[in-house]
Amino acid sequence: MKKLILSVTLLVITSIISCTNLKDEIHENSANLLQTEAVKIWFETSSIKPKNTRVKGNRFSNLEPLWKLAKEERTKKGSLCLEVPLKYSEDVRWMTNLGADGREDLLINRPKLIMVVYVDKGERVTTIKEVRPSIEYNRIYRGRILRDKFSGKVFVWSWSGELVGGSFYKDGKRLGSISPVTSGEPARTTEQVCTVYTDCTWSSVCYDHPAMQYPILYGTTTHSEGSSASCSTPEYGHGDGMFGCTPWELTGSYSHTECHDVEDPGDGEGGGPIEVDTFQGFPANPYHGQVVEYEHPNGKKTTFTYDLNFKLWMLPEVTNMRSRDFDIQITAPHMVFAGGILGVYAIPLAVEPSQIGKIVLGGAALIYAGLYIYDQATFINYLGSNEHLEHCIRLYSFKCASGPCDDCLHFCRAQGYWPSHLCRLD
Amino acid sequence: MNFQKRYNDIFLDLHTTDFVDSERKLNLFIENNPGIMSDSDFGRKIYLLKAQGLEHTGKLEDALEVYLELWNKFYSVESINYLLVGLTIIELYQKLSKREAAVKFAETVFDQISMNGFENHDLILTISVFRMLPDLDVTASKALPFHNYLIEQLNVTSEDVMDKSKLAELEKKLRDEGQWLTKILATANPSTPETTLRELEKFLASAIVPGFRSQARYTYENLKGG
Repeated sequence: MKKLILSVTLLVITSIISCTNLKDEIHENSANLLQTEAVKIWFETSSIKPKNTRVKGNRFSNLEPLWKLAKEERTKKGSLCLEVPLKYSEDVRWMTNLGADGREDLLINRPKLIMVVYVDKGERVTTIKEVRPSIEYNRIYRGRILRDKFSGKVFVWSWSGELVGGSFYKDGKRLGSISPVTSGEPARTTEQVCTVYTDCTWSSVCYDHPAMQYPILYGTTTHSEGSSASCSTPEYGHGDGMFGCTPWELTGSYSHTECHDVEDPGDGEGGGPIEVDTFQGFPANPYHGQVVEYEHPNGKKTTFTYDLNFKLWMLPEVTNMRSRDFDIQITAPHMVFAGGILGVYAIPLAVEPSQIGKIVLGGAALIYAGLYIYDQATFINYLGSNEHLEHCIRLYSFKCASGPCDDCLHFCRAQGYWPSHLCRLD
Repeated sequence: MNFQKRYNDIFLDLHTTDFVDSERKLNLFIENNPGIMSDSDFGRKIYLLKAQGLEHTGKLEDALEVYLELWNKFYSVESINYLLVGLTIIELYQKLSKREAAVKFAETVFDQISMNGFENHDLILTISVFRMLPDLDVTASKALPFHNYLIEQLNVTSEDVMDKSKLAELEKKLRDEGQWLTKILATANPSTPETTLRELEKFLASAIVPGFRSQARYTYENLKGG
């Protein structure tokens, strides 16, 4: 009997040990498979990313993973996964009909896309997670994704453009799941409280020049209830300030079911709605006066300078003012962001700031108040697409030697180059 | 308190509040500063703020009206930024889908520049306005002098300026040239003049706009001498 008990005990212990080893092995195996460099090689040598052809998956063909920003996360089920923010290789201004007065609030940040990689049965699987905040959430949090406050939807897509699933949230709580509606299959509307929606995506090209040059892409999404709902052209305008735009063109539509449930989201959703840091190159522990040249997706660069007094990465304009001994008060505490902070709203306290200071301030404040920055990326993109603004101000401030310098600055800001025939530079 | 100080204050206020309520503020400002509108320079600046305010707040019809008033009161072909303000008006017409009016305005502006002498105006903006003219209107008597001027100034061939698509390419090239020089000069670091000199040499090797070349050469000589 003793022998039997001993044998059983040994068997149990062996089983536990082997189980633990197996778990460790699986974990170790997953961790190895999810190392960024290994995932990068696997992804780049595979044909997962669709080629730029006219197929459904085309919408993901112009995405580039930001490998430097890859980070490990845990899915709701506890599995390890790797999340890699995706960068749009094409700059698109995303819009909604937010504005109470129909104008200023139109421009919003584009839905955030993240590549999620996890391990299933010893194999890597990858999906695209789309974090789409609700309009109201966006209005309050301006593009930032705070897990415990998030309201909106998280869609999970295959790289070929098929909807895999997702979840919807309110005030940080997951309320239910999203699933695709496939043709020939009834939508999941009977088992729980479910609603079917159809989303339509639209695009338009606007021109920033009378000769219809310099095209800028605009995009938007409209939503309607029902699986066979047709897509109606957005009523709101686009390209405000542009010279002319093509009409909204339908680029895609898909239906999905939203059901209230308490299931856990699938692994494809990665860590759920979490902040996506798309800033590259901002040091974690900067020192006073440290300069970072930020490269925009379009290749243009903006130089930020760290100011220890404010613990902010300063805009070129603000740095310029400080170098001219303007006493600056920064007022935009809500722009503080995970160490990568940008000072956007500055008030000079000088008693009588010169015209230079005022114009520089005008630029900085205008950017803040006028463009309705929803996140730093939007803001930086603005600077990125207006690289000349920084150059014009610098020339005006330090080099304009003769001629009507104010008018030349006006010209330079509008046209992007300094009118040497009007104002000579030293 | 003189006008300049008061103007600075309203300028600061409007820019820092993104021109919100600019109409009311400017009306009040004019009321509280009797005589300021009689000063042509301040008058022009205040009109410009008013027009910008309307434009920024999306009131394009009203903005156009004020820009036109500004144009009629303060701008003649000799004025600084005549072409820049003219182009803004053309753009507003376009945004308001008043294509015919835009073209007509472009014709007036172009005719004025032709008479005044192309050499007194920004070359790139002149090309912009010229390209706005409808083909039918670009008769030899209008186009030829401008084409000849471009060929002479830029040392390009008649093929480079013969049609609008060629001119569009040329305009883009010249604009890029201007932005390149602006960048070189704005980012020039006084402690490493040799880098700026190298950049300017590269620029001078390919640049064709006389004004830009002259500025580049001037800076180059200054740096060499310094």
